[in-house]
Amino acid sequence: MTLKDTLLRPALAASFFVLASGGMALADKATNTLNVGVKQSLPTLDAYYGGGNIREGNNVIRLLFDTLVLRDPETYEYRPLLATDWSWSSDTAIDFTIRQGVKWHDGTDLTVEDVVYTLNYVSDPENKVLTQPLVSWIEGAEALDGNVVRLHTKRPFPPALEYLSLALPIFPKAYYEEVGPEGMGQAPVGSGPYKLVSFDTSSIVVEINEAYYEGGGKPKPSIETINFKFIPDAATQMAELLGGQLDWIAGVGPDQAEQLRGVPGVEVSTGEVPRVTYIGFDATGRSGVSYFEDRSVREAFARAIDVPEFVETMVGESARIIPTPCFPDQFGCVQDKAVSYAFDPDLSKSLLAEAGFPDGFEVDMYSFRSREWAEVVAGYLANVGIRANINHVPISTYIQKNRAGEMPVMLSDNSFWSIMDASVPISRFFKMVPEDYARDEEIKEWLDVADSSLDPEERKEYYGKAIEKITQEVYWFPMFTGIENFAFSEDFDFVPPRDNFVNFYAYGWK
Amino acid sequence: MLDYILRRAFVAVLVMISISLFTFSLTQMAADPAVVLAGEGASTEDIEQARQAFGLDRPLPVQYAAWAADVLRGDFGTSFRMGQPVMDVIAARLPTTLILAACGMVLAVLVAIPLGVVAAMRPGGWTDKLSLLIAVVGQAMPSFWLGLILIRIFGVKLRLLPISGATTALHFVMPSIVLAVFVLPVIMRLTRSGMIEVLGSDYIRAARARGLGGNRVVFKHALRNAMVPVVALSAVQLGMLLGGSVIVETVFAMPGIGYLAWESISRADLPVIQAIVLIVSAIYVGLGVVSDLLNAFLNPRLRGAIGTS
Repeated sequence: MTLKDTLLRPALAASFFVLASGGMALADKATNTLNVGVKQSLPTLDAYYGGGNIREGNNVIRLLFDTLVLRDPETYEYRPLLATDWSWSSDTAIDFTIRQGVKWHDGTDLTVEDVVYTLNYVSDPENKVLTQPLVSWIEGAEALDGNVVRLHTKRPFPPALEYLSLALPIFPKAYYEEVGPEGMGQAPVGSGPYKLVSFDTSSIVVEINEAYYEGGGKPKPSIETINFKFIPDAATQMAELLGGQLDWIAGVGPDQAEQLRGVPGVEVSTGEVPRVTYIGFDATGRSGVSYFEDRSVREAFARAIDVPEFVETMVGESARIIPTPCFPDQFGCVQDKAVSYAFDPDLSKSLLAEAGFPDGFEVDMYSFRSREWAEVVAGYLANVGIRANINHVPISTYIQKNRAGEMPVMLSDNSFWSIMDASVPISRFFKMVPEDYARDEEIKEWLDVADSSLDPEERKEYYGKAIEKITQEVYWFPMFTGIENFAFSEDFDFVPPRDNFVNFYAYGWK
Repeated sequence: MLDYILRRAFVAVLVMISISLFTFSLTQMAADPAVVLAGEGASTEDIEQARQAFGLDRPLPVQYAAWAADVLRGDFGTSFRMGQPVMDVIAARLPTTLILAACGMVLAVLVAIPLGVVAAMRPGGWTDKLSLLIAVVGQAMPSFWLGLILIRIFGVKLRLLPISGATTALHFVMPSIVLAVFVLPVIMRLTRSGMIEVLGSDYIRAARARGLGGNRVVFKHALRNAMVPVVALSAVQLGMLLGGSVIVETVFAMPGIGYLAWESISRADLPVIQAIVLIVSAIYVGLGVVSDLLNAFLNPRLRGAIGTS
């Protein structure tokens, strides 16, 4: 992102004025083809070897493949898909009844063996799938009588259905054994509502799968063909939308979204993204910087930042200000347990003085998402005397430094793959893992209980305890959720999804 | 001449070996690929697993030796991100970049050299001033900005040209113009200054004194000599276009190697980065050798000078 940040982004605002004065052409409603702009070219459509790591790739994979269960995008309830029925047979086993009569895109029948094969294949460390964090909880699977597959988990794993619905598409055994990940990645055969027409370095084209079964959680689609075009540059995407060659684009910047609202023929919608932006502190001095070992300093840091003003000016009003280190929709993300810290620069200064820093101090602050955001935060901190040197680094460097414990303070965020379970953000950062800068034994013990209990109330109680302590101690200062702007042809009947996964099979023309 | 060619080839090979060493070491230092491969939220075990799966746990010299041996056999390994052989990934994208660079270069040369010659014939005249204006505007305008202006006019307003992609010849028109404008000023200014210098030299004055016509002097005698630095420069510029069209490829969504390089860097896809740097360097070094040989051909005095140095 660095090159693009430096060279292209400053031009986007100006480029709008070059582009937006053009009119809007008719979209491809006439040919029943939806043209979608995709920012990152997709390397593969094999969900387990790189295809699923990119959100835009996930949107395509959801058209081509089905999972055992579907998470309802609005209610977050689980609905039948390839499995018609399921139940926990023990603390570590779930039985799935597999749907009959489902056809793969090559015309062969989907069987229990395909399901067993997929679950065993991806959970076998020997196969080295790249989505390890999403599959490593699976022990294996076996076929039982009567079209039933039993899935064994390594330990009690309450969010199993969540993972199965989001990250575990089922593959055809015979085809996958024949072509492997490379073949599947380039010429996928799934059982989803769309099938592949072409996939090259410029685009992916899919068309309706006429043989798609009825009665599952996904409706039969109404758009005949969807063309995903790889167009990395935001301004070019906008030009294609204005020129009528694209019907839908995502990730539109706040300024551009505002301007596009006035263009005839174009609609703009804003959706919330399950992402939490927070400031994380090195509360144990791992980085060699000791300021943040003092809770007062962490609170002073939090009180220096005017979050409502920041959200309004930098993010967009649709973003929610939140006190929790997890997304409010996530199971177990108990809001009323969190302690919040209102903007109070005077209190911030006196806290710093009490801690022995009446003149503030100088510290390295790391960020990877937005340099502009980091600069604005640094501006707030300067008002109370903290001189924050911004280290804006690529995400790969950030992950590496985070794990090595080298960052005194970080402006960070995590979208947690849209998994709606508090275990993902909280347990992944506060259970003595390399990214844990709090290293709080008590929190770890509570999270161990919450992560393995199959009793929903008990889980909520223990996540609540952890949330309370994380915010009470200001290990993290959670600030706001994410938003995403979409711009699309007025002919396209689009409403932003609640979970940020765009299920194109569910949309149609007006 | 043969001795000269051999010397240049030997130096070129040494340069390539150095580049391969630098590329390999620098990419290894930039980011831990195992961390990137394992992805967001991966545990320590996940990362170690990725490290072993991709052979990243071996000592660096061992990794380099294995990689270099494979490269000599034409095998650049497998892309971390795409799971495909790197050569296939690059081969699918190289034609776009080559065609784009060639179109941009041809367009630039076709405009720059005549403009430079015309400017040199009457220094300070209105054609000279016009050419100066073009040079200043061309150098000052960022490529992405010119790209967006062209998109606005020809793609959105007039709907004459496709905006993104590289599937038809029409897709190459706007990107080629942007690249041509990027390299045109420097070629034109060098042609102009070379021509002014040559036209003022004794032998041209002597040729004119012998009664040779204006155009003949300009095109047969002066241009050939003025072209020596222009040829060298054009080769370097072509190298820049091949390796440096990242922005143009990004703005026009052309799946070329510039765009591939940028994507690979942002995802730490080391095998692809290493291959691109090596291939683009090889092209660059090759163009340097070709330009030296062309210069030696155009100006025989250089052969002895470089060949015996």
